[in-house]
Amino acid sequence: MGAAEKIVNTPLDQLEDRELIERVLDGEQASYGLLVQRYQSKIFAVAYGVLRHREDAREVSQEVFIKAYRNLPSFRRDSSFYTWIYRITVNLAIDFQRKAHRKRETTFESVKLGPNEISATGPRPMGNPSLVLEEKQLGETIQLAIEQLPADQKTAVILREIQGLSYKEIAETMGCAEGTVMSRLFYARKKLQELLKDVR
Amino acid sequence: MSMTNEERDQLIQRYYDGETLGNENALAERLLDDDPEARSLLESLRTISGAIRTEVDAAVAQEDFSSFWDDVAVRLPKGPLTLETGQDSAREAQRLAAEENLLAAGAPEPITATGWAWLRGLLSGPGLAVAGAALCVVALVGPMWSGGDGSLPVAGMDQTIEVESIDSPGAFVMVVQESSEVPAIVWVTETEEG
Repeated sequence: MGAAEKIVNTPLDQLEDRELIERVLDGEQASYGLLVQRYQSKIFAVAYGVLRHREDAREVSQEVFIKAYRNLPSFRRDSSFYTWIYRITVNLAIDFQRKAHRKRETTFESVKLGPNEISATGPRPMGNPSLVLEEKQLGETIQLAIEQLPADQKTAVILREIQGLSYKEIAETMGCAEGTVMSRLFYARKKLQELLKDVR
Repeated sequence: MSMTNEERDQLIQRYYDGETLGNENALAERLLDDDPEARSLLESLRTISGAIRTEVDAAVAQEDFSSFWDDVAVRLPKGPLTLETGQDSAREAQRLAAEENLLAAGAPEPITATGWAWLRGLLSGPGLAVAGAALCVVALVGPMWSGGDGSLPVAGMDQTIEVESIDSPGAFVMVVQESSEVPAIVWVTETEEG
């Protein structure tokens, strides 16, 4: 089976990013919807990681996909779509943050939720109030600690911890050397360790 | 083999991230067997990762993405996508955003004849050339005044930035570089070439 035939016979949601991009460039806008659905939560996570505010993160995430769509004709096919789109996300989120100049109150969203609601988002300790309290306290502290990091360190941490990108991929996304990524992660984590020392 | 605490910590970080090279993996594992501080650091890295993931995952889990694509789709340019349509659309969006920013910021304050008359004089005619020359001097000498703490420009660094076009009602423009935390304030003057 030839490559073209394979693409025709493959369900759309199983097509690789590159194949979907080709379809979008051929005029199939619906294929872009699949790319959006594939990456929307990841892009939102990165934007949220930088902005620490859900509404802003949503706004930026949508801007990311609009900007990426407009620039799709200039996307270099030999590079990966996800590092490209993460790069757009990081730039837009940092730019948004600069423009907003908002000094927000500490609003760690999950603090507003009950323990049962928090536990619905992942494996959490149940039935031990002191552990729940400890995790909540840790969550609040990590929120505050991340907010204090410079944008480049925060971005490196989010790309590593949330997206699981390698140093090389982070370097590509942030447009810097791998050594710089390692250094940003190192100093960010040092600061986070320092700030979290009293919680555990 | 002796290593500083920082070298040890960096090695443990690379080990944790799966980014060790050559024999570093074995070296890190030996360290973890022998050095309680290395073990404590590894544990701390795990705690930090867990806390960050839990916090961001909670935000993602609460987000409703059901209308996300529809919201994006209505804002995409219509018709076949080419570099030109994408850029036309982007330019239009930038123009609208600039208008919104201008509205949000309010109209620029006019320079009044009383308090700022000297500045108006400076910005017109020969005064402008003098001011431009002064700016050049500041731009050339300025970097040598700044310290080397990493937050300010340092002498010897190339401070050149390329600006394709600027739409500004006045002579001062603040340029925020994407790659820098520090905004650059440039004084725009029209030249015969420009």
